[in-house]
Amino acid sequence: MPSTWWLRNPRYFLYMLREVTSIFVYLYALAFVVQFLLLADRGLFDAFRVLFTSSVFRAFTGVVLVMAVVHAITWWSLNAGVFRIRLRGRTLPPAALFAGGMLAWIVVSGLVYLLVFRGF
Amino acid sequence: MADEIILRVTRYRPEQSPLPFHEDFAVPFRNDMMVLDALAYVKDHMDGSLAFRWSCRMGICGSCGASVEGTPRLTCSTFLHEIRKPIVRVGPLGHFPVIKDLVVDMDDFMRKLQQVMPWIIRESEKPLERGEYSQLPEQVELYRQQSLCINCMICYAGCPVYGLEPEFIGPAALALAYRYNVDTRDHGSKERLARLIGRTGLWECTYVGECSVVCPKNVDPAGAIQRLKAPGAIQAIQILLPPILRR
Repeated sequence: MPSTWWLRNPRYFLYMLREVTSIFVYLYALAFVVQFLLLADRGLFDAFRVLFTSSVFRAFTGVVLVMAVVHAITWWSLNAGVFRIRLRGRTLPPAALFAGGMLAWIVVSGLVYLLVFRGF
Repeated sequence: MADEIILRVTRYRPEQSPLPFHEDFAVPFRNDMMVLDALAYVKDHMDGSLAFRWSCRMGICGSCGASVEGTPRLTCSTFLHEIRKPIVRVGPLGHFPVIKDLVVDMDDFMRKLQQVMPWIIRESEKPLERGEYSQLPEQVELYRQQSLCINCMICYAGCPVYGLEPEFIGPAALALAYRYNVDTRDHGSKERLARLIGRTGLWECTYVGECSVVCPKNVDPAGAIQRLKAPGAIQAIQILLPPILRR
């Protein structure tokens, strides 16, 4: 297979896009976890917080948000096309699966936001 | 559409040329014409040496898979008018060695099919006089979708993972493994899963999803593989446990 195989088909391209967006989400999660590891050293933690709230990092956060949205959209649209879920004897249409998945993602993200940043 | 369509067929005749080449055939167009009809027209009226597989002409036998405009499809179920192009490209199924023209070598697929043991495995058989192994409709529904597989190998041609890693067991074989693992008459799920949790099995699937998109029978191999991953992971962890803790 040539290294450009993923340009052959729009669905392969979307797959690669979904994979690439994971890297950004992974990097953000890594930076987020590092905060907790630095809690033991107050000086290091404060320095990291300055970095975390800098304009560069805010821009990176914006990019990560866009990537996370792209990831969620491509992942749920793939699931909607792939899975055939039957409910009360009827197969759910792909649009309903996609909408349900996106709604669940938004609700869970909201709950995580409330838990982490607002402490409920 | 025009009265004529150009069928651009990938030819491969290793005894004459080491490389494949394209050949154009001007075929009379009818609105009810399938790609297979056009290939048959070429063979009957223009070039009898064109090689391709076909049998039932109704999307049941799975013989006539080919790449039509770059997408793996059953040629007997693909209308020419669906393609809406004056030149229609037809080639052999991707990711398989080509024997001649559109005929590919199926040996690798057949080997992988046997590897997943796509048959009912019983710990013990009950005597014939006790009757058949009956199932409720909802038990049949658990595997009905995957039992529709016609072994056409179109999912393999669509799967880039199989193209990149030819040892991967692949979508149809894994979907059939799922089909037998959820069959209530079967007792072989552990034995079958043990063959799937290795390097070339379940975990090779990165969920591109193309196999389910191109499948002409809506078997949904991608969904079946994802559903096998949970019991596969449990079995893989159990192997690491001391025997007393294994179920």
